[in-house]
Amino acid sequence: MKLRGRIPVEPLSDAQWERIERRVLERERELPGPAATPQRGRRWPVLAGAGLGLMLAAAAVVLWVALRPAPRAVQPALTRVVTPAGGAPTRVVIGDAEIDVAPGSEANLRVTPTGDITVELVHGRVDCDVAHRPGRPRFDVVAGDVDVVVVGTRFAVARADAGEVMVEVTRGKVRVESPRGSIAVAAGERVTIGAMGMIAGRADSGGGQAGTDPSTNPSTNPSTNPSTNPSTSTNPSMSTNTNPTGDGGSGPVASAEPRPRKPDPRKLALADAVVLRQTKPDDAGRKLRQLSLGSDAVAASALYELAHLSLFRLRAPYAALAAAREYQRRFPTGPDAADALWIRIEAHLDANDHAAAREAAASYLERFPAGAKAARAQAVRDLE
Amino acid sequence: MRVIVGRPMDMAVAEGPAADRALVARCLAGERAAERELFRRQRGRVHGILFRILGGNRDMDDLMQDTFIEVFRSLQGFRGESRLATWIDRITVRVAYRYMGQRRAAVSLEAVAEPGSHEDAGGESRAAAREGVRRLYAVLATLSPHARIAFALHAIDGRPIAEVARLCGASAIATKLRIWRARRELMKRAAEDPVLAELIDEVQGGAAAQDDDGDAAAVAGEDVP
Repeated sequence: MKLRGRIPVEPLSDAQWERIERRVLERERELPGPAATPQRGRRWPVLAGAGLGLMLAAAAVVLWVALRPAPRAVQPALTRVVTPAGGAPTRVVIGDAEIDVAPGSEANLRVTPTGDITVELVHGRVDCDVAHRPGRPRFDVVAGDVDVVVVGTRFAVARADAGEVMVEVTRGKVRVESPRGSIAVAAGERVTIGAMGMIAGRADSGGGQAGTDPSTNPSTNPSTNPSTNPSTSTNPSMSTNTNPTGDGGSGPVASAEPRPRKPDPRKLALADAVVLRQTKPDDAGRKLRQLSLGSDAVAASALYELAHLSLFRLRAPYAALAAAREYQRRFPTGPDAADALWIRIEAHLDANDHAAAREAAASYLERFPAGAKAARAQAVRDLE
Repeated sequence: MRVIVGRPMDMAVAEGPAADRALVARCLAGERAAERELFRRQRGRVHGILFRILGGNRDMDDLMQDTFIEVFRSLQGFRGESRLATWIDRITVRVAYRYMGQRRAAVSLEAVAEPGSHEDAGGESRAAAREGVRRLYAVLATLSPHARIAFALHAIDGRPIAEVARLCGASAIATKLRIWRARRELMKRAAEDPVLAELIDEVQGGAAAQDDDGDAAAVAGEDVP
């Protein structure tokens, strides 16, 4: 009996993928737990081979020192671009994305198997011109703990040595994710994110910085001055070092650079509460309720998680409805807005209120016609 | 200005054991881009396995999250003896086991997406196929986790019995027995359920003859005691 191909995998929406990725990576970075290897079996072969392994390792070290193998064999797939200060920028074109690496900058460019492009800005500035992304692989710029997710735009990211990151959008829109949350930056806007992920300032890119600490304003830093527009610089005599890793150079440096990272206690508490759902849902609910009292991204996530927990773990549809409605009222454009509405549909169904479920389903279809749960909403809306 | 057009040669996607080890090393070094790359490279595979084992499930987000958290927390134990994907498959199966153990009595099923291969069929047949799949998973939910996972990995995910056995940490004989038990239960229920019977009938013809390892009869159940 072969059912392969008969059971189509229901795709997850981009929003679901992003939410899962965000939670996984945040959780992984904040709570690096003990290794729990999936390999099973007896330990004695490992112990018995330890001595032999040590000897082999020593021999390998001696051989390595003697032969000095080229680093190419162990390099990951990436391109490292280093531009000397005072020169002209270097342009890298990957598919429909143009990346200008400003003078005095260093960036690592990677392409995943699915074609996703990640630009890791070590320091300095990159200017990116990227086509609209829907249907295309993802394009990210990572500058320390700040992640700029591209929707389709022209924008610049600058990273100062002190850790501040400036994002300036010329066209379109980007989403900036930092340890303190996520914000959208539209055309003509510029934001500055401090070393700890706190938004230090937000202003029109053509005007002054409102509420910005001048000491953290990259525009005062020559190496990150947005006025250095590489797209207008065409100096052919530029002496650049476009050094693909594996040329015997120093190799990728991103992992070698220590990133200042201080766990955000609220994010940590949220991660704990999410994990606690499995074993102590009541405790998780209390923690999520406390966290939902704020007005930041953590509060929004906590409120959505509370709605989800109430419905699917605690089997409390009315509590789920209350939390979902509260989410919609307080965070109408939050990242989980569509799913909050979906939870309302399910909660109404669990409460045997089919009329309200149909109404919520109709609202879902109206607001999120291409949402991940559109098929489900349609089925509910058409319920007799 | 120096212009580099196209994907540089060294940006070509590297795959294979060496690339797996390099990626894991970067993750262990705390490189965020590597963690993201690993997640994006493997997420579809993990999702596919979980979906085929558990069906459409309202806890899918949580399961994906739990799986990858365990993957990242266990990365230090990855010794490169198998492919990273295979190693992650085993973790995924283990998460599915755990989930079924915790939630067996309350596995929630949703309507699954419409089968892409049925796009030409009418709405009625699509609905029937969807209902057949729903009933299939309803039957699977009554089985033991061992039988359910073995059957799902073999019959739905299309993996050879030897691979299923490795993923489940069982012998090939035990795996065949589990699959046979699941199939027997499915056929029993299908005898009373025309919708389920239709789903199975469509795929049954000749399948047993093409089964893995030359043990089609054993898997199909005819000769297993």
